[in-house]
Amino acid sequence: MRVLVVEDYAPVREAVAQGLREAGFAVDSASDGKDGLWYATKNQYDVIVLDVMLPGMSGMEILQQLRQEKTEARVLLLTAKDAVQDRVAGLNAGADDYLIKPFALEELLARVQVLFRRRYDQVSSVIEVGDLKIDTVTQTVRRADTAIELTKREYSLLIFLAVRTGQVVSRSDIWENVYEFESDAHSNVIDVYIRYLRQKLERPDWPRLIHTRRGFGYVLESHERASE
Amino acid sequence: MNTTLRTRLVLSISAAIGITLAATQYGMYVMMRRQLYTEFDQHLGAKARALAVLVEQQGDRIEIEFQRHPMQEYARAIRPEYYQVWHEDGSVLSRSRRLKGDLTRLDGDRVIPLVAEFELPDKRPGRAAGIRFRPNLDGELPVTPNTPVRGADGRMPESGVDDDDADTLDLDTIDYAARPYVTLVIARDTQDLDASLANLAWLLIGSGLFATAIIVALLAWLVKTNLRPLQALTHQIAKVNEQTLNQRFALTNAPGELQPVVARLNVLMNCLETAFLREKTFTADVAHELRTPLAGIRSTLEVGLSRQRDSASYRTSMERCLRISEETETIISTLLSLSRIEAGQTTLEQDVVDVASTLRHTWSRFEVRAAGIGVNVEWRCELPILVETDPGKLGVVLSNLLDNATSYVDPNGQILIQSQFRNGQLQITVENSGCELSPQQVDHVFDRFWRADTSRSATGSHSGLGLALTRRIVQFLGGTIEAAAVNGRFVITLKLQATRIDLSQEDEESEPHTAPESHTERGVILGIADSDRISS
Repeated sequence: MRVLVVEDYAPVREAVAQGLREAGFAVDSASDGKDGLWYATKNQYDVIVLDVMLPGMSGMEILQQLRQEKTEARVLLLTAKDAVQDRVAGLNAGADDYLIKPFALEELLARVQVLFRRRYDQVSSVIEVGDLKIDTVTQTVRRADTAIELTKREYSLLIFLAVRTGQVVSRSDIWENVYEFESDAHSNVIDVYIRYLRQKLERPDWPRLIHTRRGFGYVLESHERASE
Repeated sequence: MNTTLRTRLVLSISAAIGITLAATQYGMYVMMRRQLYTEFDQHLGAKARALAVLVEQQGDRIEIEFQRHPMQEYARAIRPEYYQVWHEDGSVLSRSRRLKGDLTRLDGDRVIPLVAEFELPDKRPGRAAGIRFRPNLDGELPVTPNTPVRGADGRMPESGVDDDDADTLDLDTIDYAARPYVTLVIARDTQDLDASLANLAWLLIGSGLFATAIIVALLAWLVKTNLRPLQALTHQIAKVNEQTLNQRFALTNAPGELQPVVARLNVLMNCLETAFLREKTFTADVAHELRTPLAGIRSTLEVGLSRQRDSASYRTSMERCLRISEETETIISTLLSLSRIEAGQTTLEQDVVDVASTLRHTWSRFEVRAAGIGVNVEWRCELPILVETDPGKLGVVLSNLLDNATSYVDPNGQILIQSQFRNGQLQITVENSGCELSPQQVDHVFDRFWRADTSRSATGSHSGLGLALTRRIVQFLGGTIEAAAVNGRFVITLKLQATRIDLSQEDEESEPHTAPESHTERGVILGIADSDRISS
């Protein structure tokens, strides 16, 4: 759940980043167009919150560049211009959604959530893997009707695995996508978090959910594999 | 009078043509009339000469042959002609049978009979021709001069022979002195002539009226046809409204006079379109300018309130919101000043201003900021310049110029502040180094909300309104302000028509023509301000 916020106006940038972080996203932020494009191309973000009027390079230019490079990130445009042609221009340039300033933070969070789900082709806000249910709106996790308390990091890691159910993800994938750019995570930190997550999600009488593929990484799946 | 151009043209041209036509026709009538009368008079004169031949001297007696056998025209009852013959001594020798009363005696000579207008005894208008001559002797060859008569105007024909004795050239034996003179006058009515002239007059009037009618009709059509481009233009203008300001006028076959009109109209339309677009952009810009800080306040508050936090983070949020609202307040008050001055709701207050000390005083607000980035400030201010102007507004202008220079000067760069008084003008120049603007960008620095970057500047405090307001104020004060980018230096020059108050009673015109280079002259200081060269 990595989000990039590109916004030059510090109060908005910082508030949005904090709000997203507190909602469980790993957030990077950039204050001008060139930095923004650099972040967006160097890292894999699920959602990019992009201001239209930016110094250095406009949001629209960044958007066009990203779409040319077939970036998979969903883009939410932030704009102070509410004219229809401005909104249409944004959507035509490849934006997935837009918000007009001033906006309610709650709405921004909800829209980022929607874009995040759409990024992984999920229609529902609840992700189900076997008897595991993750409600991405309330950020609650239940397994076999038992509520499971997770920390922010654990939750992010679980979501990262859950939206890639059945896919093997490497430690470096996790490192790049769950942690903020500036944080210095190491791959053994990831092993530690996986262990914590397993301890909370798995009980001896429940089937395993997080499987280790030696030499490759981890996969979240509801059924056992013979190779395990 | 609310008449159309078409009506005016048709009426005035018709009147002019009508008057010319009437004058020409009247002239024609007068000439024809004179010609006809001349012919009539010649005819009458010839007839008088012919009758004169028939008056003969037979011994002592004067024989008038046509008395016994009068010619038909003298005998007839209807419109008779008359003659009368007088003897030299005044006795009437003969008169035509129909003549009751006397004709006027006209003593013309034989060559040029005297002709005069004459009302006939029976009240008919007529003319009479008279000859005074010596009758021929019986058997004498008559002299028949074939010469014109004196005209109705009494003018002598050029070829006329003025010789009384011409008829007796080869008859020296005749004793002329023995013969008495006889005067013959014949009169004839001019009814036929007058009727012809009346006909002619009516013909001319009729043809004149007819021609005038045709001309008016033709003119109406021609004027209408030729004014068609004007009508087309009117039609096009009528279709212009707020939504169609992008349209331009075009006339096919536009006459020469209309082409500049169309061109000027199109220029005007350009201006209008630009102005409307600017207003539209301005509204959008205002919305943007106010929305952005609002978004900042809202997001900050929402994040702050989204969960229970410690008092330090609430404090941070509140401080941030306070700062944003202060910035917004500045934007709003600048916008208000701008719109007040544009709406003409500002009054001019005159007072004596010491330019150099005002500059110093204004600079004190930016001194610390400039020193913080190591800016070197150079002053070149003529001393003293006391002018009469609006101190408050000049203060705002100077503050904006210095603020702008301080904000955009490069670290460790230079700011140059100059003031001088030349040719009745106060000139203030503020320069800063570190300018990266292109000439095209410089053209926009006075536009509202214009910034070199499409977004807010990094400092957040520059709304792009300061220079726009500055220019409006300078215009209000009756001055000009120009910006230029020269070799990486941003130069703003302010020129203000001002009355200089000279305390020493010296005429500023006689002051040495101080070139900017010669700073050693009186009243010019060149120096480095105290705050300069502070290394940071």
